Amino acid sequence: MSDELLAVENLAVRLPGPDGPVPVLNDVSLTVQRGQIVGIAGESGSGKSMTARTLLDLLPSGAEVSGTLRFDGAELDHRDRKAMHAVRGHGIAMVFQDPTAALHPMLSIGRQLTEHMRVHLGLTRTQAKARAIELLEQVRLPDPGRALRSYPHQFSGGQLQRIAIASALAARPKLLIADEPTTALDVTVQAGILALLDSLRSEFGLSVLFITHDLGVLASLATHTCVFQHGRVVESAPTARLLRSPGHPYTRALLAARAETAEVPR
Amino acid sequence: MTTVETSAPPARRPRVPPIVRYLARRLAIAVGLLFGSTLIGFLLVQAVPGDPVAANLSDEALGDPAAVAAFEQRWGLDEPLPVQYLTYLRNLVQGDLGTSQHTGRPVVEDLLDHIPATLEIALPAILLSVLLGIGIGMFAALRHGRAADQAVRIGSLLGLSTPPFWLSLLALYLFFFVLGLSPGGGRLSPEFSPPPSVTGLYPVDALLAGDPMLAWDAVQHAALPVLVLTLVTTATLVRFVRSALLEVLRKDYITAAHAKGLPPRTVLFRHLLRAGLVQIMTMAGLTFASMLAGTVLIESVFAWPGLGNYAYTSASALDRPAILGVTLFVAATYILINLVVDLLYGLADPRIRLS
Ligand SMILES: Nc1ncnc2c1ncn2[C@@H]1O[C@H](COP(=O)(O)OP(=O)(O)OP(=O)(O)O)[C@@H](O)[C@H]1O
Ligand SMILES: [Mg+2]
Repeated sequence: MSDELLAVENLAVRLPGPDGPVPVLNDVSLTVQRGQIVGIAGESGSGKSMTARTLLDLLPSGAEVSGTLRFDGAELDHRDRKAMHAVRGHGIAMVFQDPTAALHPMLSIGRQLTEHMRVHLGLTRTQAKARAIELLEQVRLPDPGRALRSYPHQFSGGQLQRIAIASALAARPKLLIADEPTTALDVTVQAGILALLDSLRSEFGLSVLFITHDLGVLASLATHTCVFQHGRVVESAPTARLLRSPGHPYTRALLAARAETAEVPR
Repeated sequence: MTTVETSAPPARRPRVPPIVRYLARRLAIAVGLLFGSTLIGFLLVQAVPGDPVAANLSDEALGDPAAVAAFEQRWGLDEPLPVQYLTYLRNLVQGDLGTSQHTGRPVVEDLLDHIPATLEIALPAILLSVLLGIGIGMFAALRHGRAADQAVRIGSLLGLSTPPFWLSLLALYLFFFVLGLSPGGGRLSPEFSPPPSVTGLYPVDALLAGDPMLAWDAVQHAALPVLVLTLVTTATLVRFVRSALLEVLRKDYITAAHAKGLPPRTVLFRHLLRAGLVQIMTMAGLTFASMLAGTVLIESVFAWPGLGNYAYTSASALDRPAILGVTLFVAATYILINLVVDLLYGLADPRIRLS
């Protein structure tokens, strides 16, 4: 078995607009190895989320997709609905930017953690509950038993993001896409979430596609980084090298922007 | 916090669950609203133009000052307004809404006669339109912007902009005169007499009395008014459900549910509908309340002896006690339905139930 988990080749996506299709991704290629964290960085609107959504076939209706997507040794074919349902959650899972919006306000945490486990892993109610408690312990949420009976509004943003990560891991995915999972959280909480993702990688061999607009976040986290601009990958390199000697002017601009904001005391 | 009472047992203050506190507050508001609506109703009825004396006495009696004075005294019209209002309130709390000037019967009895007739068409209509509204509204929302969605939007707009009165006439013309499928106006054919009253709903009472023929006749009579009422309210509900669900569909948690690989059916019913249901129930409740008040024209076309018809005749006769009775009943229904919807809200939404 090769070490390659995900390969995206020459991906192009066009979305329907009022005056015909609008290109949002052009010739995007990237790979993720097993047990690796790969970063995607880029300014707002550069196509980071669209890349993630394409992988899970969550694009708005009418989207035109071309290129090759390979996941876990097989081609990802959006037309094969059954296969896509199996990939979603079970092969590739996703964590969203705003944890307060990504959990259903009226469903209990327990239900939201277990429903897809039962679909994908065929667990009984009791087994699913036991696994949910285990997962909440893994993401270091205090009092998991009580949390299962609670609802999203009873938790803080950082706690909710831990719950969302637990939910993403519930059906044992091989790849976790984290779409700016810390942007909505404050800095101290952010560090905790990053440490959690890194420990999940080292302990369980989880692969992560980590999306951020902040290149600096990737420094200690991602082995490899792709920089997006206007729907294209403008630079792709091992993170350390990319940060040390950025090859593309846009990467340099991103780094410079970060240096400026970093000086502002928080 | 700092008071020390070592000897006394801990204060026995059972913690009131949030939901109970929420309900108590809603209930208090409802009582206040009910009281307010009696005052507003009373004042509005005073403002009704026209002279109730002239409207209710014959020309002969009008020429006779003694008869006029007797009429005024009987209805308390000679008292100052605040006194009239207090008298009205005192009677109201004893369940007495006064006597109708044009039927000569207690208004309460009149209402009890007419309300079941209206419910007989309003209950099936609201049930049907909620089911249709959710079904069609959801269908359109899921096909947002496509041909099917446009068709639903145009169709519901047509339904909304068609006057119910005209729709009633059209239905009567088509099903009675042209197709001969409908037995025409009224609640029963002349050869039948009403079943012994249990619920006041003829089809139900007829079945309870073991008379299926009678029940079938009653159902056939109710069919057309129910159809018209359903069409009108379905149009409203479809539009509401569609826009409510479109809003939910944009939420991250719906995308997240799809991303978890749940079957589409589960996302649709457990996640999408669940989030929109409370709003939809609110709208359905208000629609139902407005049905009770708004069937006047439909009832008059179908000669349906319901609340709308009673309101219409009372208004033409400037029958103040009757008008006020209908007004209060409708206000009370609105308040009650709002209360029920609030309760459902509280139960359905953990954010209210638990905090
Ligand atoms: N439904 C849509 N229809 C058409 N264009 C869209 C739609 N959604 C997003 N876009 C466009 O696609 C482009 C890429 O958006 P995307 O959400 O991937 O950006 P992003 O890199 O994730 O930005 P952010 O950091 O703000 O999340 C943007 O230019 C955006 O305007
Ligand atoms: Mg994004």
